[in-house]
Parts: sequence; structure tokens; C-alpha cells
Amino acid sequence: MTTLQFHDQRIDMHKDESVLDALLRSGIPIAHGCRAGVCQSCLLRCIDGEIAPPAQAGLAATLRQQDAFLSCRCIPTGDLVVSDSAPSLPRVKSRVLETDRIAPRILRIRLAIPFDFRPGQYLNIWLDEYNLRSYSIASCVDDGYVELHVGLIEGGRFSEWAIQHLASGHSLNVQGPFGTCHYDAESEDQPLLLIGMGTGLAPLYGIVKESLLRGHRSPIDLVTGARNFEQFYLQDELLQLCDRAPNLQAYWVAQHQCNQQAQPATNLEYGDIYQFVARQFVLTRNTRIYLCGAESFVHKMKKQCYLHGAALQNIRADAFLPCS
Amino acid sequence: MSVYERLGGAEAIDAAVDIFYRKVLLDDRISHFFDDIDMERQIAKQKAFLTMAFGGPNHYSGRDMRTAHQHMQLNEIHFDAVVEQLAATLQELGATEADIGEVAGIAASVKDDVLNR
Repeated sequence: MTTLQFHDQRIDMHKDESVLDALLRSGIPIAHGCRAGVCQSCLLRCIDGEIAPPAQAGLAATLRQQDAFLSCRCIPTGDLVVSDSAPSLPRVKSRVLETDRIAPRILRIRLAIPFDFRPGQYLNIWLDEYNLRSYSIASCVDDGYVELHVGLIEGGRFSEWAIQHLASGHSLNVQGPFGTCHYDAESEDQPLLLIGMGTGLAPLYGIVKESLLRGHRSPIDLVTGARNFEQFYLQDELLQLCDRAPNLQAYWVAQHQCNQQAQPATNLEYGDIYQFVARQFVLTRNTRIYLCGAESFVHKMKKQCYLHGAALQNIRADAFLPCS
Repeated sequence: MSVYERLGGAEAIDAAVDIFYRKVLLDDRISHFFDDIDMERQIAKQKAFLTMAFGGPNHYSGRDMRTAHQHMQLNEIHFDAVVEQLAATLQELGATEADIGEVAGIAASVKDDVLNR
């Protein structure tokens, strides 16, 4: 007789019964759909016990690592403890090493490394018990620090506080790493296309550096978009990277032309970033695409790339969502 | 043997959904129903749908189909457009006329539930 535990409820399993069926007949509402292991709406997390492979078939590696499984496909062979809550990483302290206003509206923060990470993943900064801000990591572990690019928002809670108070020596409460927007060693033969808007450049900058560190030889194309030229940052650093790595190309696309211009950057275009990407790059099922920026940009560009032939599994995206 | 098995089972569904999803996203009659911000979740739903439509293993009940589509207020045009794209997808996969007819038959069997009639 196998037992299933869900939070504080203990259920005796029937023979050949799935976890989903057992929970539903016990009056516990679990989201579900196809009951065939395809729609993935019945995902639960295993806290204790063994999950057989069929119950994790088709799940992304990140989900499997978090012990997520398909409850409609799981017929337990032994006692199981399961939950519907997402796993939670601990909050740890990290010392601020330096802060730098690298652009009119961008504060670069470098922190002592609080946990292992891959460039392009993001972390949460906990302002207090209940409020957090998420930032993508723009550095590699080899750099010796976690680098964040904070877009300064007028009246923004974290922005205002950071400008006035944040300095080296301070400690921040951070949690992470999160996200699948990072380089994979298996990608070394894939052409990379990275497209970011505004501070969406931060994780892409980290991913580009990581890919070069790992000896990526296939083409790497980095596109930075902004409403106007003044919003671009890190151009010098990117051009230096391009000088050292012949397979790296950087492009800048500004929506609007302004009257006063700083010196024109190489590969600077004016116009619509979607049209630019469509005519500049040929996408194949093998192209690995990274997208970062506001949600509507990420979704629109993801859909466009998919419709132009990219494989959905090869599109990694992080949408930046506004916080109150 | 079902169309699902004849085409190659789960692997064939993976290839089919890639073709089908792109087609419906580009079809203005129905694209808005499929234009989910969560594309991975939409693809998972399409896999489940195509598995069923090709006669593969599924546990959908008529009630499941009805409640799932009720709020969308679908009409004949929407339904026919989806069946059209299903047929076009099957043609690209090299299915026979008989296969396409079989899938159309399965679609017809759930029509009333999907249209909430």
C-alpha cells in the first residue's frame, strides 16, 4: 500500500492509480487537461520519494532539475511526498564592491559573488521582507563579481534609494540564480543571435562574454535596440570585444533620429528593429536566439523569429516586467 | 492503425505541431485564438490536440472539449479554418487522402462540443 502525501493530507493510493487521480478523488483541486502527459498543466513537485522517468518525459531540463513531474503520468512505486509550490532559493547577503553611473539613466552595480550562476540568469534583490527587484547578471564568474545594470526610473523605489544610498561596503539581500537565458556549452556550433532593448543588453553582454570564454567559434550577432541614440551604453566595450573576436558582430538600432548626434557608432541603423532583424539575418532551426527587454518586445520578436524558421526550443527569452 | 501510428507517433506530432502552429499564427481568421504570450504552453496544447485529431492516445471527454472552448464563442468559420490548416499540415507531412479524410472525421465528431451546440 503506497501513501501519497500532499501538504498535510495523507492519501492511500489505489492500484495503478496516478497521483493526479488520487488527488482529484480526495477532493484536492489540481489543474489538469489532457491527462496524457502532453499539456503540462498538472505539474507538481516531488519533495520526497522516487519519480519514474515517464512522469518527467517531455519536461525541460530546468523543470526536471527542480523535481517537477507530470502528476497524470505518475504511478508511484513507493511512498511519495508532493507539493504544488514552486521551489524557493535562500536569500543571502552580498557585499557591494562598486557602483558606477555608466550612463545618464544606468547604474552599474558590482557585487561579491553570492552563489554560482551563469551569465544571463537573473537574481532578486530583496528590498525588505516582501518587496523585490529582479536584475539580470551581466558578468561571468571568471570576472570575480556579479554585475547588474540598473535602469534608473524617476520616482522608482529602488532607483531613488540606490542613487542616494547604495555604495561599496553595503550589503544587499539577494536570491538566485533564476532563468534559462544563459549560454550552453552544447551551443558551440550554433550561430547566436542576441537582441536586447535598453538594459536588456545586460544579460546579453554576459552571455556574449561567456560564449567567447568557452571558445564559441560560430557567428555571434548582437543587436541592441533603443528609442534613440542617447540610450545606448557599453558601445566602447562591445566594439573592443568585436576587435578581439572576429566571429562577433554588434549592431545598434535606434527608433528615432535626433538632431544632435554624438559620434556615429559603427553599424548604427535608424528604424524598426523588427524589420532590421528580418532583413539582416537568416534564421534556421539551428540558430540560438536570446531576447531581453520589455515583455511586448520579447513576445513580438520571439513570434517573428519563430515564424521565420527558428525553433522554439532555441529561443531563450527574459521579459523585463515593471515593478510597483 | 491510426493516422497517428502510420505517421510515426509522438515524433510525428512534434514535426506536425511545428507546421500547424506556424500556419494558424499566420491565418488571420483564427490567429488570435492561438496568439498566447506563453508560446511553449500553446505548443503543448497543440500537441495534445493534434494527438487526438490524428487518432492517438488521449483522454479528452466531450465535456472537456465543450468547457475548454465555451468562452471563445467559436463559429463555423473558425472551426473550418482549423480543419483546413490541419489538412494542409497533413499534406506537408506526406499523409494520404485517406489519412486526411480520417482526421477530418475525427474533427467532425467533436464539432458540436467545440462549437457548444
